[in-house]
This record gives sequence, structure tokens and C-alpha cells, in this order.
Amino acid sequence: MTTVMLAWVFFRAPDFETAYQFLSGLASWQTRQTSRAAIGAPLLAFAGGLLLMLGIDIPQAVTNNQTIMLRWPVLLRGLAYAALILILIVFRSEADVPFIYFQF
Amino acid sequence: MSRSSIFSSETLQLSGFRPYGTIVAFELLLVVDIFLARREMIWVFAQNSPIGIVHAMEGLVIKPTEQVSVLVLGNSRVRDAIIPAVLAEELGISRTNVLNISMTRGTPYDSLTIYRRNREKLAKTSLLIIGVEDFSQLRTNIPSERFRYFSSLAERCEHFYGEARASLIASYCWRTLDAYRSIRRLGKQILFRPNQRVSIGSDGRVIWRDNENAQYIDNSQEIAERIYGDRVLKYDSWALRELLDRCAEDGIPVLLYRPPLSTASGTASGAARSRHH
Repeated sequence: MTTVMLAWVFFRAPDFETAYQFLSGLASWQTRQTSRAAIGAPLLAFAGGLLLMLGIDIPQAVTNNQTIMLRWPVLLRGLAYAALILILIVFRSEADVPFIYFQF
Repeated sequence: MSRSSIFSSETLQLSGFRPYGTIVAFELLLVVDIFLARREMIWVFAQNSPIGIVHAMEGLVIKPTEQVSVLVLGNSRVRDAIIPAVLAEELGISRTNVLNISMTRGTPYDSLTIYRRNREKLAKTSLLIIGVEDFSQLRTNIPSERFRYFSSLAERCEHFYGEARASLIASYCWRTLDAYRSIRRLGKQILFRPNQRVSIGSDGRVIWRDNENAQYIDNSQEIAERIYGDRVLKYDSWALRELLDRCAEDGIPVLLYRPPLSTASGTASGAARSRHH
């Protein structure tokens, strides 16, 4: 999975030089940006994504039930749905981002 | 073979339709909309944001000014070009009577909005100077944050088309869609506490750089087309026309002023102007 995610860097980067810089930054755990928000925001986004993924995966794995979320209490389910919708709205981008395979 | 939620319909069989979770989610979203997105506070708490700057200017500059003789509206180029003290000296009036409330990324729509909201006070001015730029009249199909906050339903329907219009109509009912940037700013403020204030000079001019939207500066048709692609519309000065109409109703003489362009972007803008005018 890590290999696949690293390969995405080459899909996303406009050229090999940028991809190399990005990978170097990942390897050295460094960024050119220095402000607290500039460094903290991507880390928070990463942590949020991880939390979302594990929030679905762990209950499924523990109970061996793919639809365990449907048995959550109604309030928790409602809260989860509302939170997901809000995340989609608040973190949306207005910039045009073409579907990645349209670039090939 | 392992069971998979993707390839096995067996695991996805649902017993009955009970959308209670969805109903709770709807109620929660309604609470967010009413108690967050529809509150002025969420839009204006950050002074250095497109709405916050308007609010700051109204509260800290327009409101305390007793009498306005000369009013200047426009963008940052106009703000920097017209120094109230110098203009007041030239005209032989008190420097406190010249108000330059031009702001970064100020468009004719923003000038119209400020005039509309403070008409009672601003309509008493003896001269209104409006900064006009070619690129201010260039309209794209992307509503600005200020338009999202200040526009009426009629304006949303009239001045945008397609997806943008549909989105604006939807967000007129569900304000959370309009307030997403403000909610994001609130999150940043809670987590990182960045400085959200602007500097207001002794002559009332507000210094602020819109770093959030720096990539959206569309200072020529050519550049705008490169950034916005087919979402570039055309030169359209409806807001300027409307502002001029209001001034005519109020009997205010208007001077349209365009600061000279001398930079590379000015050259690009000039080239675009010669093609489109």
C-alpha cells in the first residue's frame, strides 16, 4: 500500500523534479513552509483521514461485520453522517481539479 | 474466499428502511446552519478576511466619521494612490472629511455593497471617486466570498449561470454552503490562533493583503482565461452601473479614476484591453 501511495506522487506532480523534491521532503520529514498553521494543517488533515479510516476499519475488523455501523446508536450514526457532510462542505476546493486520469 | 463488502451483496443486505440516523444528521446540520452559518460573528470575527475587512471598515472607519466630503471607493491600487491628507490639502478641506475606504481586491460590487449598506451617511458626500480597472469589470462564473455573503437571491440568479447559479441558490437556503471558508477560518483560529486583525492607518486607510486568494488575482483577460478556463465570462460592469445609478439618485457627482499601470501585469492588462475594447 505504501508503494502505491508513493507512486501517486508521480501522478500528482507536474514533473519528475517536483516529485523528487516531494519525496525528499517526505524522507527528511521537512517542509519549506515554516508557519505553525502551514505545517500543522497537513498533519491535522492526515490525522483526520487516518481517524476516519480507522473509525470504519476497526469496528468492522473487531466484530467481523462489514455493516456494523448500521447497528451504532442512532445519535452516533447521525453525528457521523453530519460530520462527514460538514467535512465535505468545509474542506471543499473551488479550484478546478481535473480527474487525474483525464491528464493522460 | 474472504467476504468483501465490495464484491458480495450478501453483506450489504439491509433489513427495512429506517433512516433515523439520516434524520438526526439533518437536524444536526440544521443546528449548525442556524447557530453558526447564519450568525454574523462567523463571517466577521477574522478582520483580515474578505467580509471581516468590510465589517472592520464600517465599524472603525465609516461609523466614527462625522462628515464625509470626498469618498474614495476602489481596490488596493486606488487605496495606495489616493492619500487623503494630500487630497484634502489640495482641495482645502479638513483631512478628516476625505475618506478612502478602498480595499484589497475591491470590485465594483464591493463598492456598491459598501455604499448600499451605509447609504444614509455616504449619500451626504460632495464627491465620490470610484476606482475603475479593466480587470474589475472582468467577470468570471465564480462567486466571491463577499458576493456569497452580501448578495440577494435576485442577484444570485441574475449574474451567474449553470452550476454556479444552482450552487448560489442552494446556498441561499443552506447558508453553511456559503460560510464554508469562515467555518474553516474559525477552525484555524481555534487550533493555531493566527493573527486575524488588520492595520488601520490614522487616515482611515486599511492595510490588508488577501493571501488566501492570492492565486485568484485576475488582472487581465489573458491571465484570467489561463486561471479560470471556460469560466471566464466577459467584461460586464453591472455593479458599476448600479452604483452610478444610486449616486445619480442621491445627486452625488462621481469621478471615475483609474490609477496608471506601469508593471508587467499592467502591460499584459493593456494588451488584453486593446483586444477587448
